Amino acid sequence: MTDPRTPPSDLRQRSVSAFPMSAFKHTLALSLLSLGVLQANLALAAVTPATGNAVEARVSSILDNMSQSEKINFTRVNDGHMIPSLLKWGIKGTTAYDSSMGVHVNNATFGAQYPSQSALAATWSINRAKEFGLAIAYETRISGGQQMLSPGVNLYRTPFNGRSAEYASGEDPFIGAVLAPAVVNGIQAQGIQASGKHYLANEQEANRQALNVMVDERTLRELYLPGFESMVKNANVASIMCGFNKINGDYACENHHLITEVLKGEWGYQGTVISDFNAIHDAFKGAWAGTDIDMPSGLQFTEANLMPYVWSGQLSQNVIDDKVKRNLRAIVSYDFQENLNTAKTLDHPEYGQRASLNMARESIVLLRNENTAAGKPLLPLARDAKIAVIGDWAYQAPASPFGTANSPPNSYVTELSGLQQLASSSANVTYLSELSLNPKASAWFQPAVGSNNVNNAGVKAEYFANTSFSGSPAATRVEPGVNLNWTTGTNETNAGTTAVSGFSPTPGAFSARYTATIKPTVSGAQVFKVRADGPYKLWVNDELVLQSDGVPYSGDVVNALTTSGKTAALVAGKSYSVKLEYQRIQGNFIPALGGVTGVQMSWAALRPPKDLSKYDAVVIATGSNYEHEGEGSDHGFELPDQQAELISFVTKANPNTIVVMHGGGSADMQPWANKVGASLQAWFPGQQGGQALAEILFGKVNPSGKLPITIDKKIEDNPSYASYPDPAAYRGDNALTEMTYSEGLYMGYRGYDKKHAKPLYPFGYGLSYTTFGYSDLKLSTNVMAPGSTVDVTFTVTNTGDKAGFEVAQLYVHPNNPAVDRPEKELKGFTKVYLQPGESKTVSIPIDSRSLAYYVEKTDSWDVDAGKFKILVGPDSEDLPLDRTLITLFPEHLTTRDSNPLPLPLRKAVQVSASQTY
Amino acid sequence: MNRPMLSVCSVVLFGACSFAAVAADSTNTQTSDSAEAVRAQVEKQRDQLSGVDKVAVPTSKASSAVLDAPVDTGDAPVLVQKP
Repeated sequence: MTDPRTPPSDLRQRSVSAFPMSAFKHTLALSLLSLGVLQANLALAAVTPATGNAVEARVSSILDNMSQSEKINFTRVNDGHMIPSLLKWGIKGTTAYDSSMGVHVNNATFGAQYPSQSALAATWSINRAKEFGLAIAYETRISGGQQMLSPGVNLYRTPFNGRSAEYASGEDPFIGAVLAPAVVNGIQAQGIQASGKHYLANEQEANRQALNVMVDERTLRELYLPGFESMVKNANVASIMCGFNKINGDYACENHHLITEVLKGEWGYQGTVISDFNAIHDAFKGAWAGTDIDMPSGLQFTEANLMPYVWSGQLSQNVIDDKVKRNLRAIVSYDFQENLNTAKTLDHPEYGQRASLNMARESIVLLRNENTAAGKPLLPLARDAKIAVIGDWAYQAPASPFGTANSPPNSYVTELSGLQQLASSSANVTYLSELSLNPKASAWFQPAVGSNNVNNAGVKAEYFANTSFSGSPAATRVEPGVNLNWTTGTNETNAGTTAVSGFSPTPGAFSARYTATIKPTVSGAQVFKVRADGPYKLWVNDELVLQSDGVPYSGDVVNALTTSGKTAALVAGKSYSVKLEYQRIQGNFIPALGGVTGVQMSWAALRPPKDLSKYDAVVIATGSNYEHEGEGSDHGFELPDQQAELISFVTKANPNTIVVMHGGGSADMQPWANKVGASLQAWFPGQQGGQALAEILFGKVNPSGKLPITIDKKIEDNPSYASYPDPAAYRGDNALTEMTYSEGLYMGYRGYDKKHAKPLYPFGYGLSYTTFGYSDLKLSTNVMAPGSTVDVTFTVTNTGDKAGFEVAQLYVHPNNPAVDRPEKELKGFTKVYLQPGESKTVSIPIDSRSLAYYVEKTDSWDVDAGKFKILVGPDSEDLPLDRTLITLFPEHLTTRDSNPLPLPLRKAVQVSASQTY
Repeated sequence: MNRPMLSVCSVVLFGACSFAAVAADSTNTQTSDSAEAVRAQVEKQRDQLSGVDKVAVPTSKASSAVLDAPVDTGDAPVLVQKP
């Protein structure tokens, strides 16, 4: 039996071949190579990524002189680098930053906070995608990074997904296939590497480390892969990050089929595949599958782990060399060998500010705009309108999700401030804090000494040195409120700030009881909210209102637990007791990335004040933020914090209520959707979101965002619901570990079409302050010849009285398909700005791939001979124009040569060197 | 040096490298007992490697003035197939 640690003879020869070289020869060779490197750098620095023979020659020259040890250690990092250092060759390694909504460094945001990538999807704008890529890459470069860990192109399969905000595809692969390469080209033209993520089928966060996604090959090819395929074929994306989950039994970073066969084989990908955080579980499987970098701990791709497989021949030398070549290519093609950027002060923050503002302006979707009693649409508002604003979302700096996408802004405009600044008088805009949950602002009272009257502010706090509230408290005092942060050691409230002292909030040995009295200012039910890193219970008037068992929702990045509850009807001016009991059981909650270690308590009225009807309009800013949404766990469909009930009651009091929804995706709007005066989907709108929203509400900017998702009437209607009805089933000790994409191709609007069902708001939908007409649809030819492109032209006319953008959409409907196919699929869109009365004739190209479906048996994209209806219009349910396109012969497109984008679109997503800065 | 000796040397050297790598991993594991700790450590390392930990970023504690920036009214790139 062969000793597994003895290398085969051919590898022994290879491994020892460098030893006879004398020190002199070795030094000479290195010197000559370095000279060549320096000369080549001059030629390669102009455009990134550089490609071609010069790059490959240099890569090979380094590879050929690396020892086996150097090679294997060039595939793993554990020192903070992304691509490892190899100082012998002048390679210092690269640094990658999380950068979904901003460049994440120093546990803060370096430059701008941009709108979420789901907001980018809602712009349907190649211009905005490029502008975003250019700006955030500039900030990455100035902050000393060489690589960004974005964009993401996973699909919006379910509203539950905690990471919806991070994906630029919405629910349709074509949006991602257009926008993602435009972002990537913007990034990479600036000399920074992009990373497409999360490869693949990472459509849910719940139990992501153990989840096995079962999905058929055709569905993968037609829905979940094209966004990645387009980044590879149309942007030469520098890296692809494989995710945590399994796909059809193999972990994403150990999936030979998806990485080596599809990505590197069929698509000819030349970049690197990097693991998500320690996402490789088995060294051999990860190496053989084609993952090129084991990061950030480098636990698997060690010599000890991999060499036995090399010696046994199970891992060929080519597999190792291929990884090294790709990683070297990433260095050489971006000139990181000699000219590595280092961090300096951001000298042009305005680039990011403008990009953030422009994206926000075009991403906010107007969903509803009803006529008021005056007979005119509620929006836009008059500049002198008297406006009430409700909701902490409007008061706080624009939020971002929990996790690596968390990007607190350095400079920002809140929605309240934006409205106040753009109003004719800021005094016309009133914030109703008594209806807004904020632990800093909530008012608490203590009985005055010697009297039953309630007139002293504060919360009585009892701090125990155990988790069971046992014995005498270690400390008792009155706190100004409950906003305690164990990491900063502070309790900051508007009524005063205290320090965490006189007790120790040690995990496993700490509990606290807070008691106070509230005096509601509005009669009716009140909402209470608690956020904490442990179990808690809250009583109002001795009735349990809310509780949490303190069990984290996620297994790796652990967010504090936020729970709300409502009281019975309380009477304004009367006093009610409040008691909160909190235990700090474990210390694995994360204090960064939007998380918190500590305990927060707030309350607000769930009913409107009696004088709400005096306002011309009421703006309710609602939705989710880092408290409810983010990495590592999925969330519910309902609006958090009892906000649906608040909206309903506010609307009854003032029908001119405008609801502004926030979050990476949608939430349940049905209870009030058809009752409010207006509603908008604002996503995570970024640091200038308050300005963009105010500009839209006052009519300075005409809304043009369109939904890249379908908004369900009820979650049960969502096509994914049959297989994923409840995120809670994927938590805890008995968490489910399997998810079957049972809807297959019929996800999102494709599923609604199949059932002939109507959602609340369809895919592609969005209102404007003007109206648009569609006419004169023509095809450049009625017959699609193999290898050709058909130009679909039509005229869009602004038939209203305000200038604005229109996103025109093209869908393909196969007539009598030979196989089961969706009723229609998005295959093109364009965006034009039209003055009132103006018409523009626009053209959208389609090609054979636009008509094709994937055939697993032949691994090809097939077009059947037959007829296709080309549908054009403003959204997926309003397609007034159509023409018939004919294919005379069947066509088989290879997976290597076919492209998700027709040729003119491939050109349109490119970024030239002249656009960089 | 003849080939058998080279083989022995290479194995010995490789073994030493392997031990070093394993030792490094062991240390890494011992000092990082949670995913959060690894993540925090990596982020700190990244910031140190790039030097950004030495760069201050001015932050605003209050809402800023709106930007005086015109609305970009540019159309999407023209998508016509060139002959």
